[in-house]
Amino acid sequence: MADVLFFIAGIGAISGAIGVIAARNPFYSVLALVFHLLSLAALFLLLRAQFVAAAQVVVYAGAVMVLYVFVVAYVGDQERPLYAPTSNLGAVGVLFTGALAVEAVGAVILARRRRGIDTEADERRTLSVGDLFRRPPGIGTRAESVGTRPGGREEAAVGAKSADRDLGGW
Amino acid sequence: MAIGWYLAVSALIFCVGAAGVLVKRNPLVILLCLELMLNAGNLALVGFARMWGNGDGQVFALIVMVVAACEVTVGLGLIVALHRRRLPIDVDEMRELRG
Repeated sequence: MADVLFFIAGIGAISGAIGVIAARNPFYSVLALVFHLLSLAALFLLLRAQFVAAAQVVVYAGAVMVLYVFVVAYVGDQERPLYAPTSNLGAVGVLFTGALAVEAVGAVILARRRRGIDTEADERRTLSVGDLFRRPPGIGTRAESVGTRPGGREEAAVGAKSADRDLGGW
Repeated sequence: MAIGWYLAVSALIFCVGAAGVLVKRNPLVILLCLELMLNAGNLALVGFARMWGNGDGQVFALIVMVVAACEVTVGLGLIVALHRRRLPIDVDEMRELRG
């Protein structure tokens, strides 16, 4: 159930974000951002951050977005095309963003695949692309997120903590 | 869900926001994309707070929200000032500073 809700809210958040930059009219961008913020509030609820979720809805979607709507209505739509190149820098921007996406998501995946640092020899061992193709050692614990070696002292402490706090999920 | 999924969603939202800041030319939409990037940071902070099992990251997320609200206020004030002086609402047109 939590997994289904996560995917619904996550896809909603990402599609809302894409809608912000894809809409031609700034007014629709603001509406897409409101949808994005509500999806993000659902994600915060899944992370058990109830107060942050409530503040997100009340402060962001309630107050800040109303300010945006008023300013967009005041300044007005400029009727500009989605992409009208005045220079070649737009393509460079898209290129840099693609590189950033590859780097950021790759960093998350690499951190999941890394097997952790316990000894000094591990500290000398650097992160490599080959780690992408190895299986992650621990499932459902903090080790899965940050990559602690199973059986290490960190893992034992975290395992004991996650048992009584239910860190792994719902 | 593992925290890594939340971090991946956060990274994708941040990249979409960065793309908007780099590509769009309307300062209103650029401000919206700044909001996207700040919200991606918020999601990562709350995810890490969940990972550690305490509420420290959520406090940082609230501070980021306050900063974002202040930044929106100043930015929208600037845009309204541009509009009242009949300057074009386009970041490519704003090339020079006048005293």
